[in-house]
Amino acid sequence: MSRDSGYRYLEPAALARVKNLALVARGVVEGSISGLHASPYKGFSVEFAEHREYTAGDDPRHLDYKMLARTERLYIKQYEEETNMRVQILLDTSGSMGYSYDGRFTKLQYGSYLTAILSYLMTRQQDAVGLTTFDTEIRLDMPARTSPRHFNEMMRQLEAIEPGQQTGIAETLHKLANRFNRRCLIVLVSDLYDEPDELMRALHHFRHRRHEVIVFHVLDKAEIDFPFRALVAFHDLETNERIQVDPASIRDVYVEQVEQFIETYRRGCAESHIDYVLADTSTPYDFMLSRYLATRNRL
Amino acid sequence: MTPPEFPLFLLAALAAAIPVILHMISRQRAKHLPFSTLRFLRVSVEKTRRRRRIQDVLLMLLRAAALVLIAMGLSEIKVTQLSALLGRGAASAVAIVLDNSASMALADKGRPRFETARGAVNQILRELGPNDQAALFLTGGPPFDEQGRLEASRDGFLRMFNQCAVSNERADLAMRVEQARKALAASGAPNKVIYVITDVQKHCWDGLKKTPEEPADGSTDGQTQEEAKARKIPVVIVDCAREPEPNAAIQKVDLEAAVPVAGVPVKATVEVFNAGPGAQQRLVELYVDDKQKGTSPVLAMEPGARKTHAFQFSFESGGLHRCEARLVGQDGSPLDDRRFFTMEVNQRIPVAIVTPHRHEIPYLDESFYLQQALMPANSPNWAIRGSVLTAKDLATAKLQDYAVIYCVNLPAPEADVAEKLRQYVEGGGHVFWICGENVQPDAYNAMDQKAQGRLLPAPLREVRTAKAAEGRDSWHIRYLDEKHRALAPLVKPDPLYQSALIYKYVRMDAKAAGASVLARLDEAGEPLLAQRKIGRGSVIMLGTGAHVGWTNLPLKTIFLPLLVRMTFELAGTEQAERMALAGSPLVLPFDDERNPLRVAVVPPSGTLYELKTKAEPGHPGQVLTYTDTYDVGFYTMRPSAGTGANQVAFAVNVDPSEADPTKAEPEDLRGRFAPTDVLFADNPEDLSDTFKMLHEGTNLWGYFLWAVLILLVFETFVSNWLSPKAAEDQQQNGPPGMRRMGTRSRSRLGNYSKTSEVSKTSKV
Repeated sequence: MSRDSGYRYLEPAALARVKNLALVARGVVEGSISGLHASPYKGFSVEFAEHREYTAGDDPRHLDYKMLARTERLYIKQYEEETNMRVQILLDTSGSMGYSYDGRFTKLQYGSYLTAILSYLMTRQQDAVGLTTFDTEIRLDMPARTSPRHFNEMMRQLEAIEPGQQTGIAETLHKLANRFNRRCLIVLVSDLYDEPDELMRALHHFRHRRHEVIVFHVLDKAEIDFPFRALVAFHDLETNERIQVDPASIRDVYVEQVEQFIETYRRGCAESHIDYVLADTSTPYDFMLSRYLATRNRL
Repeated sequence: MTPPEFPLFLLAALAAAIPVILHMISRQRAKHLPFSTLRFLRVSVEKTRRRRRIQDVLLMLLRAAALVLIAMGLSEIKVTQLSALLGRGAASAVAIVLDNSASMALADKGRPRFETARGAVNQILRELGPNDQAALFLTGGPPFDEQGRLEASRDGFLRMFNQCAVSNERADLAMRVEQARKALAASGAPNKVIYVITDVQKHCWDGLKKTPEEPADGSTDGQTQEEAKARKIPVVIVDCAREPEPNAAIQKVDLEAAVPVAGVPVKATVEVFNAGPGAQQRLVELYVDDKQKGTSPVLAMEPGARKTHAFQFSFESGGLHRCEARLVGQDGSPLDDRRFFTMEVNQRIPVAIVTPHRHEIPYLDESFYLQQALMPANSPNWAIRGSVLTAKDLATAKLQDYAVIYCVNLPAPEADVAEKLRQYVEGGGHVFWICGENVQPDAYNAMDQKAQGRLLPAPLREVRTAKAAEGRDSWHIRYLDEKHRALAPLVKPDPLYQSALIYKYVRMDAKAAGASVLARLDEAGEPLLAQRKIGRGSVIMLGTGAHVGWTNLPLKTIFLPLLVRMTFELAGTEQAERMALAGSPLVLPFDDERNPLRVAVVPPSGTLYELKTKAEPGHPGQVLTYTDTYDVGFYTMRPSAGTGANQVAFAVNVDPSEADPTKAEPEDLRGRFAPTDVLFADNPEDLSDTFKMLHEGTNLWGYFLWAVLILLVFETFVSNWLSPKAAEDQQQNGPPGMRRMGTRSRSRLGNYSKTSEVSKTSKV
C-alpha cells in the first residue's frame, strides 16, 4: 500500500498476508459500539449471560418463560454485550531504536511497519486505535479512534517519526498507565533497553489497571548474535559513549548477557500474563505478525 | 658460540619484537561503528578483560618464542655453545681415566702404549683453558691423594701424572668411569667430558653393564636424578693400541707333588700364550732360589695359541723356596714374561714308631709296613726321619723330640708311661694309635680314664672279626673325611680307599667322646679312624692293624700317602697355596694359640715393614692383611719370634688376562654405555679432530625446528580457541547482515524462535 495506499509503512503484500486475521481481545474491553470483543456491560444481545429477577419496568419480552414454568417466579434473561476494542500502540522512538546492522531496517522502521499494519487491522475491525510515541518523554499522543480519518492521521505521523534521545521507557509507561482509564489493549513496540525490573513494574502497572498488554521486543539480529569480528570501536546511539572491544574475545559473554536480558523479559511477561514477542528485524514483520496472530487466535 | 655467529643470533633474535610491534599496530586499526547500546558490551568487556589480557600475552609470547627459536636455529647454535652461554665459572670439567694396567706396557712399533697415553693426556691438558677443571683417575698403582680430585689448579694433577707409571694390575675401566661420572656430576661446569685413555682391552670393560631403559612413565627406576644426569656426560675413548710387537706371556704355573718335601719330585707345568700377532718360538726357564732348574724345549706357537711344558725337579733341602718361570728373550711386554710361585718344602720330620718288641725278621715286625711307608728310603733328603722304639723305650725316651709317635699294636702302657704320653699330647705332640692283637679295649679304656680321658680319641668297645659264617669276610672303607686337609686329596677316586679290606677292627664310641671320624666302614658307618684334639696336640686311633693280619690296607696304594700326609698334617707342614695378583691384598690367618701380634713383611723391594695383626670376623685367630702389593715378586712374612709360627712367602704376579689382546668392539661399548654418547678417538697422537668435534657439539637446529613447529601448532590452537566462532560463522553465513542464520546462530536463537511466538503461558 506504500504506493497504492500512499502510506510508507503500509505495504500491500503485507496487508494481503494478514487481512484475514483479527486481533481479538482476550479479556473484556470497554467499548462504545458493538464489535468483536466481549464487553463488561450486560445487555440484550446474542450471547446469554445470566438470569435476573424481574423488576417493574423491565421489558416483558425478556422474561424467561421456561424458568417461570419451573419455578413460578419471574426471571429476566440477560445477554453479554459485544463491543469494540480500544487499542493504544506505544512506539519507542529512542535513539537505540535507530540502529540497523545491515542498513535496511532500523528497529524504529520495523516498529513503524508493525504499528501501521496493526492499526490497519484494528481500524478494519471497527476497533479504536491510538498511537503514542516516546523516548525520555511522550512525543506524540493520539487517543484511540475508529475513524478512517484518524487512521490517515496516524499514518502521516508515523512517517514523520525520527529516532529521539535516550530511553526512559519505564517512567513513560507509568505515566501512560495512569492516563488510560478504560480497559484497553496496550501494544508496546520497543527494544526495551531499560532496567528490566523497572520496566516490568511499569507493565504490571498496566495489568493492574486491567489493560491487556502485548510487548513486541524489537531487536536487530546483530544485537543478538554479535557477528562482529575485527577490532571495533562502538559508539552508543543514545549517549554517544565509545568503547573499543575485540568482538571475538567477548562474543560468548555478550551473547550470554543478551540471552539473560531476553529471558528476563520473557519470563517476567509470562508471569504477568503479558504476550511477549521477540521480533528480530531479520524476520519479515508481516510473517512475524501473522504467525503471532494465528497463534493468539488459537489460544 | 663463535664471534661471527653470536651477533647474528642477537640480530635474528630481534625478530622477537615483531609480534609486539604487530600487536601495537593492530591496536590502532579498530573500526568505528554505532551500536544500539553499550550496556552489554561494558559488562562483557569487564568480564573478559583479565582472560583476554592473559590470552593476548600468551599469544604474543608464543609468537615471540617461535621467532627466537627460529633465530637460534638459523644461527646454528650448538649444545656446548648454549651451555657455555648459560654456564657460570669454569666452562669445562674434564675427567681423564688413564689406563696404566700391565697391558699398557706393551710396545707398539717400539713405543710403549703408556707413553702414547701420556702424550694424549698432554694434548688434553693443552686444550683446556686456565679456568677449566681436570681430574686424573688411574686404574692401578699406589693411590694418590689427588686422584679423582677435580681442580682448576694443575699442580696436583701434574704431580700425580708425572709420578704415575705402568702398574702390574688389571684395569677396571668401568669402575673408574663411574667414579669420574660422580666427580663430574658434582661440578657446576656446563661442559663435561670423560676421556678414557686405554688400549681398549675387552676384559677391562667387564664391569660395564648396560643401563636399563627408562620406563615410559618417566620414572627413573631406582636411578637418582643425579645418576641419570651423570650418564649424559659424553665419554671419549682414546685408543692407544696400535700394531703390537710380538709378545708371549706365561699364563700360569701348576705344581704337582706327592708331598712337598725335599727330595720328592715336583712337577711344575708352565703355560705360555702367544699374545702377539705373529707366530713365535720361545723358551721357558725355571728358577728355584735364583738357580736355574731347567729350560724347556722351543715352544712354537701360532698367534693366540697356548703351549705348556712340564718341569720335573726336586728340592734339595727343606724350607721356603722362591721359584720363577721366565720366558727367554725380549718381546713387546716384559711384565708378563715372568711368573712367580713359592713352595714351602718340609724339613725332615722326627717320627717315633713304637712296637711291642723288635722282631728278628723285619717283615714280621708289627710296624714293618708303617716303617716302609714313613721311611721309604734311607735317603738323607727324605722329609721324615723315623725312629723305631719298643714299648719299654717309651719310659725313658724324650718324647718331645718327636713330632708324631705311632704306637703300633701296643699293650696298654703303664700308668707312668701313659701320664708321660698325656703330657706329651697336651704340650703339642701327636699320638697315633694303631690296633692289633695286643690292644685290649678294656685295658686301653682304663688307661685313658687314668689319664683323664686325654689319651684316646674315643672309648674302645669290643674287637670285631669278619666271619664267613655270618656272611661277611671283610669290611670296606666307605667314607673318608674330604674336609680333612690330609685326606681331601685321597677322596677321589673312590677305589683308592674302597678297595682296602678290613678283616678285624676295634669298635670305637666316637660319638660319645666327640671325636672327629676321619674314616668309616661300610657296615653302619662304624668309625675306623678317629681323631681328637687334646691340648695343643691330638690323639688318633686307627681301629685296625698296620700289618696284613687285620687288613690289607698296608698293601694298598693309599697307605703310603695316607700316613705321610697325616704325618705332615700332624706335624703342621702341609703345603698352602700362597699366590696373589698384583693389587689384591695378601691375607695371612693364624690359627695357633700363640698368635703373633707383629709380622715382619719384606716386599720385593727388600724394605722391611713390621705390621700388626688384628682379629677379623670369620677367623679364629689373628689375621695379617697386607695391601701394598703393587709390585710383582715375593712377599716374605716373618711372624715375631717365639710364636712357633713359620715364615711364609706369597708370590704376587701380573694378572694373566692383561696379556689378552682381545679388544672391545666399539658398537658393543656404545650399546653398554647408552644413553651416554661415546666418541672413539683412533689417533692418540693427534686428538685435534676429537677436540673439534667436542667443541662443535651437536647442532641444535633440528631441535629448534621441532620446537618452532610445536609452538606454531600450539599458537594456532590457542588462537583458534580464542576466536574460532566468528571465523566459522563468517565462512558459513557469508558477510554479516545477510539474512541467513548460521548453525551457531540457530542454536543460539533456538529459544527465541519459540519466543517469537506467543508465550504459551500468557493466558487470561
